[in-house]
Amino acid sequence: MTVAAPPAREGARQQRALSRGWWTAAILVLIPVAIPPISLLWQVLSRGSGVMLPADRLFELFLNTLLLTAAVTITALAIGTATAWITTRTTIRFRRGWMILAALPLVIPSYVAALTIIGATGPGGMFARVLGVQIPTPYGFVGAWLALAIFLAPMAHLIVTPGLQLIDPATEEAAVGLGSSRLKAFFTVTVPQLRPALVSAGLMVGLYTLSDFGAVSLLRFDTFTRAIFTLYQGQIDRRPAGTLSAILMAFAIVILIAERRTRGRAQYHKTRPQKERQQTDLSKGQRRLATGFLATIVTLSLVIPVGVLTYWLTRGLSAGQTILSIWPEIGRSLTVALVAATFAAAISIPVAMVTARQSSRLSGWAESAVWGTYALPNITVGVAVVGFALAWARPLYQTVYLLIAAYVVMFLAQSMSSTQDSIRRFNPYLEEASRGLGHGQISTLFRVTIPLIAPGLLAGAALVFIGVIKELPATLLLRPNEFETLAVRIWSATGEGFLTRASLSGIALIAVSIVPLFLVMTRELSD
Amino acid sequence: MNSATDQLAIRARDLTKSYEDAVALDGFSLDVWVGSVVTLLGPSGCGKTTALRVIAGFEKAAGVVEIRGRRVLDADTFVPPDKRRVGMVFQDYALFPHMSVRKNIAYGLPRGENRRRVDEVMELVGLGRLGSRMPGELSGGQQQRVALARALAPKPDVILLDEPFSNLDAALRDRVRRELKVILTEARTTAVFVTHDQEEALATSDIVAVMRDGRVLQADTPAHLYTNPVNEWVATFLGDADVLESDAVGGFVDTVLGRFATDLSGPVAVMTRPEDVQISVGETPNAAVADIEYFGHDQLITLAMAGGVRVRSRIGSRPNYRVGQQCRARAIDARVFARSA
Repeated sequence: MTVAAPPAREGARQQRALSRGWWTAAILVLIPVAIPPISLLWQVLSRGSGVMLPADRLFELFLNTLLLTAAVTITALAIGTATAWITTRTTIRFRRGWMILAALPLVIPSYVAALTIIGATGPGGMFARVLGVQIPTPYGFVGAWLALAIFLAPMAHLIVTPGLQLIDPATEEAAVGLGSSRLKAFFTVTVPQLRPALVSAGLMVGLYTLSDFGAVSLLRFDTFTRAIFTLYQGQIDRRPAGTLSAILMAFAIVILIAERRTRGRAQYHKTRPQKERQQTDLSKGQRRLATGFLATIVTLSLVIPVGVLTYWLTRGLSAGQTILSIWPEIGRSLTVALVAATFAAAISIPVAMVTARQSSRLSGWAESAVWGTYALPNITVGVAVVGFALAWARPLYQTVYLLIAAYVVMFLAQSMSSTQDSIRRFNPYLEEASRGLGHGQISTLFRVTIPLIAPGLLAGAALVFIGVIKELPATLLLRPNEFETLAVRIWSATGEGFLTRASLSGIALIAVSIVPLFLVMTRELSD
Repeated sequence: MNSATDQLAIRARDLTKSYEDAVALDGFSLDVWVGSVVTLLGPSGCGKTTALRVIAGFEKAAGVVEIRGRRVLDADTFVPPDKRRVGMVFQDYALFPHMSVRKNIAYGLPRGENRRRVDEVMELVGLGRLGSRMPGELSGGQQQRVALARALAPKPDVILLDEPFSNLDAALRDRVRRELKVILTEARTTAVFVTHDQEEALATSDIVAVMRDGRVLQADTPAHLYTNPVNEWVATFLGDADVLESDAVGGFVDTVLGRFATDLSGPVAVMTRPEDVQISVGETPNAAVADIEYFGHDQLITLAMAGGVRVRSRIGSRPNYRVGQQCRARAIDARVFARSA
């Protein structure tokens, strides 16, 4: 008897099955997503650039930004790939534990990283006070590079690990069997296969560095973001800040296009069913070396920061400060993050539906728009949204509603991709089955679709939550007066008792991010 | 007596639908009588699944569909699938993975009063005590029964089954097929199957509708369809057949297998089934045995005839011939179709 082949045009058929309601909802969501870039362009084009910075200063900013982005991307990719390879492919002990530890510093925002560097070094730093070793505080390029590279390596680790898990280790073994060394095999066989993951990790790290404001401003390295903020705050005329933001936006778009180009040429490998995965058997010496490397990275990125924060915290507590003093900030941070995460998850459904179920030009644009806004440096989104509110939505200016809306738009891509993932996993016939059994579209949505994509919604919400909790520059620009969140508190705590107060907020910020991070990691790093 | 349309569970007329790259339905028409089991049979890509999905309301098309006399699709009407009272069994069953077997079956029933009905259909399909299991914990055959029970539970006017046996292995498939026929008969349900498996179609159905290129070429009882195909394509698609080309003159057509009466004249195709071709020895030979496939309960003999024509004959386990043996072949029955010259 013949075996049934699935109908050939299944994809085309399901594309058509999508109702107009989904598209209407998706377009309603996409309108606010498109506001920041359009608003920024409109501001510059209609009002002029204002008094621009001198050319040599602009060039300096450009060079600094480029240098930092390149240095951080290369370093973080190298560290992240190394930790990912060791924790997926080798026989070291506590492999899974290391895998999670290496990803954990993701909860530490760049400005907390900068804070710990400041808190550890210098004449009054922890090293000087506790160990009696005084290391000069690395202000400028070195500090910013270290802070960002070490704390973005976990991001690379988190993206590269699943990529590595998809590659058949046998290919590397085959190369070794054919006489090449382990290292050569890694670079000639594994790295090319890993290219898609490396490219997207590079993209994420690069964009993050470009967008970073906290670390560069605390460690006093002049990049675009720092200059934009100074211009924004110091002048009544906000046009120069807008112009500089537009330049930075162009920078991000160039990176985005470069990534697209690379991706177009790279071979994307599909998941293949994995049999028993073979771990590379390391010799005792190699194992020590690998473990030592992991231990160093974890010490630098996790142990020292937490140590520094704890040190300053205990000093503060013994000096009479209490945790109660930041209770309102914790409350505000949690509230905006929870509301924004919930909203982002909810509105990601129609966008993810039309982009995951259809492959038309329109759905391609929809997806690009969401990712495009996500790729914009947060400070440019902040400048754009302020400009938009002042011109068109005055009553919303400096309200918490506008702040939350900006968060949702900025981080929508994260919940969208997570929701898309879970939509692609489930059989669209389930919805038809429900319709056929007498349930309407709405009932089907709530009884079948949402329960089945719930894990994806939750994971996406967790990512948005972490993003919002850590967000600084747009918050600074958009928050209502007196509306202090943990991030703002850390950044603005200067002068006397700076480190004590900031550390308390830093620890609180890390603490509230841990739960959602675990949620994300168990999904991403599932072996 | 009811009027004819009251007795029709489904009346589809001139359904037409095309995709960007291909025509899926091209004037599809079909009548399904209440209580009957109808199978849409055709090669892959002939539009049979699309026809089913249009009837269920998952896709739109030009044309008219009536279910139990109610207009559900025409130029101005589109009744959504949830309002059509049509049950659907999907190829891969589409069981809700987050619901137990009972919840799956109760899904199409109004809340509250569903307990007895769920028990009833579970009994009917023989699911026994599997009610609290989750779909992932069931075998393929069990999942299929749950899908059937779920579709039957709301007592739909008609139940549509899209390749329902294709995910089962061959051994299980025959058993499940027989069971399904009994269940459908017991439930007195009108059913429309889609399949590309001829044996399955002939064995399961009251009426088989043979489809090609988006339309129904012939809808008849299996026996009538097999013995009286409307054209050469249907004849060769359904079962074994050999086609001889000849010309009809004066109400007759002469072939190597004998003379047959026909109303046609001019170029014709004469179709014979192997079981209608008889072999004898002793008379003037007109064929030689070219090949013998011996199956035990019967044998298929390929005969080489004048003009390089090859014809197959299916006979019982005896008598036994040998390859190369001369014999006389004649057909006791044949169908004559017009042939474009």
